Amino acid sequence: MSTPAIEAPARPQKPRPAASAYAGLLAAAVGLILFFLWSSTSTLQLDIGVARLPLYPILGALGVFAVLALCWRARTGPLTALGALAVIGVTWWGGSGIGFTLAPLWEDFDRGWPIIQEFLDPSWGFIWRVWDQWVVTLAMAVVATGIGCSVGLLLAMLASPVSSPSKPVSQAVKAINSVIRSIPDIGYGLLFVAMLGGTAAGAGEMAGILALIMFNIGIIAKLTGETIDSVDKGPLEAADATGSTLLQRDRIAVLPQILPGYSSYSLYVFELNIRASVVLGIVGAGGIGSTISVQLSHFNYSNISAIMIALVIVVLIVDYVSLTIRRRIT
Amino acid sequence: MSDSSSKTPQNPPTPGGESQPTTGQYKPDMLDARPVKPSKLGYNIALLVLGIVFIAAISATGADWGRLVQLPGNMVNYFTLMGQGVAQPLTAEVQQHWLSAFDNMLESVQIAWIGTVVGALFSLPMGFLAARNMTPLPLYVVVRFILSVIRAVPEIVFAIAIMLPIFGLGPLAGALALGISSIGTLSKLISEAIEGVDQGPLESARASGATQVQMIRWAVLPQIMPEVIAIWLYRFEVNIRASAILGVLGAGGIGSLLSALFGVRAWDRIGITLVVIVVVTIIIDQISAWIRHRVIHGAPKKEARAARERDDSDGVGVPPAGAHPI
Repeated sequence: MSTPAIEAPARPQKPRPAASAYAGLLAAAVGLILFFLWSSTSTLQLDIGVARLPLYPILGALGVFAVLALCWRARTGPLTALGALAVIGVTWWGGSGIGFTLAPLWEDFDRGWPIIQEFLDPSWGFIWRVWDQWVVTLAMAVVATGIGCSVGLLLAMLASPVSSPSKPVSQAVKAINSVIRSIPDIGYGLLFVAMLGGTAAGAGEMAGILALIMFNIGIIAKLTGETIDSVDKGPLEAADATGSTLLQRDRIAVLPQILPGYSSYSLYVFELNIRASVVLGIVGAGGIGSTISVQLSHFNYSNISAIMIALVIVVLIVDYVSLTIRRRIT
Repeated sequence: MSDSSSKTPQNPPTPGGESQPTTGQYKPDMLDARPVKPSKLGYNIALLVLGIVFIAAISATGADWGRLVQLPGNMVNYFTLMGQGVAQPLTAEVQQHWLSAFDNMLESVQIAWIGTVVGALFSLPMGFLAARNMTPLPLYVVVRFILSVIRAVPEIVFAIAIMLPIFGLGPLAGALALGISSIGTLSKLISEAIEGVDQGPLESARASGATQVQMIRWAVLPQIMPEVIAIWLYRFEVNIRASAILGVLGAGGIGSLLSALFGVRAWDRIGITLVVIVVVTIIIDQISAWIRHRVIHGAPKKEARAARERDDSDGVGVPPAGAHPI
């Protein structure tokens, strides 16, 4: 871009970030490249005539320097540039850890193509044959949402300093919430199936509901807790001024404020439950997932494909319905 | 009630004023009656329907509620076993168990990270294509539809249907399945951030003759970048949990270990693994929450002013006024 020559006060230029900070970043980059060289397990090499260099560390080094140069040109602060370097480092670590490659896409595509073809030819009749499992799945989702969201609301109320009886209670419940939230839904599924018995023992639905409840409590307690933290303080003060007890204050000043958000989260959790029940069924909790699991063990891919199409349709419908309800609530 | 309201002067002359007795007896008319409580009929009906649906659902699950009776006993039993597993002295074998749980958890984190990176790479351009203020209508409709289909499909479907046949059982298939399914949510959230940008910078960029690309670079990206980074990090947290799900299918990571352990009912090792999951997940959540907060709200208070002045003309570091934590 050419700027016309104007004598009047020169355009203010953003100063370049401190060169010393970037020198430090350069040192960090060199350290990162050494880490690449050290951790690289690939034997692929780049022949440049005079020497043979390991391919992936060289690519990584080019990436590092490119990012540094870009940050310098865009006048990014040193901290942000350090963040960018960290992202590259973690990506290298993850990528080499799981052996990232896209080669199977063209090398092994023929092996997977017959299976994908079976998926592209779903057996439509199968969709209606498993409708009772769909009913069970939806019912499980409803029950788990109802119970999980109620307990979650209670825990969120106890966890937020705004509505909690005391600080120790709030801290303790917060810790419990993060423990509940950190175990994935599949972990709960395995746990309850092991404790109660799975579909084979006739307890799959119960185990699935319990797993979904724990899963819901974690999400609702987190989301609602954040909403409670940010409620308008005015009604709280008014309730305090009229001498209300904690329960009255929570009922009159907090609950009405969080109700729209809370209902919307509950609907969101309901959608999540339908998706999660697929996974839970595979580990032995009931619902449509157990059907998928059976078909998967028979390598009956066209039936699985039919179920998955039905799943997408059910999720889209639930998505649409809950979107409509959410629009009316909020 | 009526004696207190009789003292208040009536400012507007009421239409029914002539009927008001002047002999001290006050009779409230339409205008100074208390406001009528709005009807709660709709609300109550909704609650009633919800209750009926809930009860119907309880019976429709066909779950054996009697089994709940034996649950507490079983729980105490198994949790004791797990607790003993966690608390047992660190012999070489037990150390091996802790290390293998930790290694598997790190592999899950790697799967989740690569999945998030793959999703993030695609989500930024897709987000622009799905934002109404950046894209012509036909393209917008098509992209939105594709995104909502991707969002409706659970990641496990991508894993079973597309990734496992081609990439085989392994962490790579899991990472790519997570990556594809991340695109849906990420692009939607990013497109919403783009639609919510402040119009001012866009207008001034357009007024100075910027091309579409220049407008994106100078008017849109600086506004949305903090929010976008927060969205990506949030998805990383979600993906850590999701990678456990794919592990059960055999994609490696903590999910594979867990399902293998549950297969042989090794409760002591299950306890160890669950502790590792909880600790690592909480640590990563905390770090991610801290970065998200830092990115959205900028530097801590005392530095905030200096930082704002420093970043003034660049804009990359300035959080948008309406930015909210996710």
